[in-house]
Amino acid sequence: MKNLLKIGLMLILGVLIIYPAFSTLLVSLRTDRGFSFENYHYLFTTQGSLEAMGNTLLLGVLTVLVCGLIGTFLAFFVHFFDTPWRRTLDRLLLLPLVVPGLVIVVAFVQLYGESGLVTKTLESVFKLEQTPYRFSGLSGILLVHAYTQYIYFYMNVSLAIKQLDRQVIDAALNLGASYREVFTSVILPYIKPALISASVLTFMTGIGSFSAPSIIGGGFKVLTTQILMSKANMFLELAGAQVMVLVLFATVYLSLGRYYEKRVSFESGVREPRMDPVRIKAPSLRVLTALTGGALVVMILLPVAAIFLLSFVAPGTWMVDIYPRAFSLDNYIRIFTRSRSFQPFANSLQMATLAAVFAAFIAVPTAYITTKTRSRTRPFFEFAVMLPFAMPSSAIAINMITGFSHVLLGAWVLLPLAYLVHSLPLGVRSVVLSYERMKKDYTEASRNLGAGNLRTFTGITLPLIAPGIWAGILLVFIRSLGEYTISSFLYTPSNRPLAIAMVNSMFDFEIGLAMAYGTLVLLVTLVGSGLIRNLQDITR
Amino acid sequence: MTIELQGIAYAYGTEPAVRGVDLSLEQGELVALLGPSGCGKTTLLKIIAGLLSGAQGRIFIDAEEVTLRPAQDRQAVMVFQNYALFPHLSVAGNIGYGLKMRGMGKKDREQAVREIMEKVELGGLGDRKIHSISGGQQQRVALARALVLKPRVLLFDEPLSNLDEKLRIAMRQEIRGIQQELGITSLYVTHDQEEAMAIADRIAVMRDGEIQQVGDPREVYENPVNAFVARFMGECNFLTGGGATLVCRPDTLVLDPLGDMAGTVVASEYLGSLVRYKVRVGEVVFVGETSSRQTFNNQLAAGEKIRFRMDRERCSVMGK
Repeated sequence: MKNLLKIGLMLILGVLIIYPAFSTLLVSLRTDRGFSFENYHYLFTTQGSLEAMGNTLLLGVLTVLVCGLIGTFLAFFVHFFDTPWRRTLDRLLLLPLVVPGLVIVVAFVQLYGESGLVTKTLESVFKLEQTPYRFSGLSGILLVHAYTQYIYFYMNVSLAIKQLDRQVIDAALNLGASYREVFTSVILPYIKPALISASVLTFMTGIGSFSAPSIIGGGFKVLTTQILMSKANMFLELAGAQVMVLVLFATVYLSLGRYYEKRVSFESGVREPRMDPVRIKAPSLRVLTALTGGALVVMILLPVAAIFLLSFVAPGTWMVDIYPRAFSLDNYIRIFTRSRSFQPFANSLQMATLAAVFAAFIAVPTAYITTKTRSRTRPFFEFAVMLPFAMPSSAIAINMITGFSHVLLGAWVLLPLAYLVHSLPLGVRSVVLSYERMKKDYTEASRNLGAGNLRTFTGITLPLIAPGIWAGILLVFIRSLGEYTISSFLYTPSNRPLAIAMVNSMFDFEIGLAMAYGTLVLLVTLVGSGLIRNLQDITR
Repeated sequence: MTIELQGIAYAYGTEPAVRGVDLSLEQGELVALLGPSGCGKTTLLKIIAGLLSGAQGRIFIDAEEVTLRPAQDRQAVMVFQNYALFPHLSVAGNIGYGLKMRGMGKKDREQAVREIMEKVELGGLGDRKIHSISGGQQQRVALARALVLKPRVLLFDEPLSNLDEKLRIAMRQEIRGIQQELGITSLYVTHDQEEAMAIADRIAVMRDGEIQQVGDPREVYENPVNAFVARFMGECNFLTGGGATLVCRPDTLVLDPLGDMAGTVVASEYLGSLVRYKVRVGEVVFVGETSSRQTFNNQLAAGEKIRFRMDRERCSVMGK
């Protein structure tokens, strides 16, 4: 029974994750004259393709630099000093973790695009002849990335700051180190592993980013958008090769990062007493931090507020004016009364639910095997669930096409399956954390009191890890609900997800409708992430 | 019920934790398994409970071999060091858990839980959540959860180590009282020699996975088989000569102006009714203990020269 379950699970993971990745590799080697590296040769000799690869790496590196500066600054600002409204700031700053990147891009277009609210305001206030800046190309993408992808640096460095050892810092000061020396000789070594692992995550999301390059990239070509082009033009072999190159970039950086992370990591000794935030005494500095904090709140909330407000713009009323004048509930009424408009919302809800529930069924046993057993097959499970993590969304989408297009071409289920693969590592992670937090004593006590394995699992283990399972389900759900990249690769006219409907409406100048979709995604996401936070608190 | 262990051995990977332990417990007896941390005593307990598989040797409970029985069928119920109370169940839910697993109906179960809760003075706390009661109460819940099953054998894994000293002493008397009243054969793991002496019929001293000595508390304290046991059971002085080693507890040093030994006090601690002191004689430092009243005006301050004698009659020859 146990083995049967395990074999079944291995089959599912093999078919869903490993086989498609492998088939992309095979497809990338396929040419008219049998297997060869011709597709790769083409990629590395054609001007346009070389440019796209170069741009991808450039975007990755610049994203790491920009986000590293911003994220680290924010982490120190919020967690190292006793900044006013620290808790609120912390919660707001974590928003990009759950808010779909697409929603931010769309909001940015409405704010800073050619006819965006902020752009037009600046033009009219300063009586400018033309737009003061161009929100497109590399700088536009970087701005979006700066806004959304600082999150890994922020989270990792915040955690590292919380684990700083107050006594070590005091000792350094006591031994005569200046504040600057304390920073370089004590604080920096403590946060270095965090910086490196954050740079890995940021680089990977940077080179895998799709919504920003595809919507505001303009002439700035990167691999992810090229892959979609190849796919749309039916050059699947070329798309496969591009995917492999992208994955190669990601894994090389990942392995380098892991290597250096290991070299600079160390076991910090005492955990208590925890580091108290450093008090800022000078009144002028206090005012400055308060102002910075306030500005941050405004900046984070501005896109969200824009989406929310614009969702009430009455259809067909906002054409030439700078600011919309007529507001109504029409967009929402339309979504909930016209089946053509409601369809994408219902469809995405359905697909996200399917992906989330299926993910839970895979995550619970997989997490069990990887944390609680020493089975010889454990490495297989660890590898299979971590593989999608190293693959950008566009790669996952192409994998699904190369792996299943002959059986599932155009089938509805392809998209939720891809969502599932995309978010499975996070879902498993959530369950793994609860398993790890659960003391072995509980199951031992249960068996000692006479419960068999099954009753121990259903009566003790399952209730104790339930919050982790629910958090995992919600995480997969909200990530799938507003997912854009995979959707652009795999959607069909009869299977339109919310994100695609949102972008389509925007390009049809139905801004209000697009924003209403965006607001719905945001609402579900925010409620979901609030629930996740509570669930995580329970397991703690 | 009796317990019989024959040649129990266990290794974590290549690291041996228990090496060939033989031990038998008589009906109703409480044996304390005493030793420093990492000596294998908790491992031994888990092997008896069936929570560690892959151990060598044979285990008999009441002359019936249980070596290969799964943990849930052994009825060797354990009281865990950190209690391992299920945080998602109420106090009553925890105590009734084992009965439920044994298929007891709801009415009977509630009755049994109520009775045992009265016994351990937890009356009225049945609906409370585990994290809302005090450490001492949690300890009682852990005890009640085990006792309610009327187990054949009770296994205690340092059950009092998370309590403060006063509560620890009160609880050990209570545990001992209930254990004797119900006559449950018990194995009690502890690293505290005073606790072991206070609670146990017999003490088994363990070191590096092996049992060094088994005997009643007085025997182990007064006639240790080796220096490790002697030291672990309390402060002592070793006197060598004539091919034998004498173990002399601190109270065998007698302050005597006419004594045959002279030395300088190195340190002393006033402990209320007792004064414990260290005195250097040549190269050797002896530990002595004397009733506070006997010191009279003698302060036993460091640096003071004193004369004393050793009451060799009350010393024991090691290993004999």
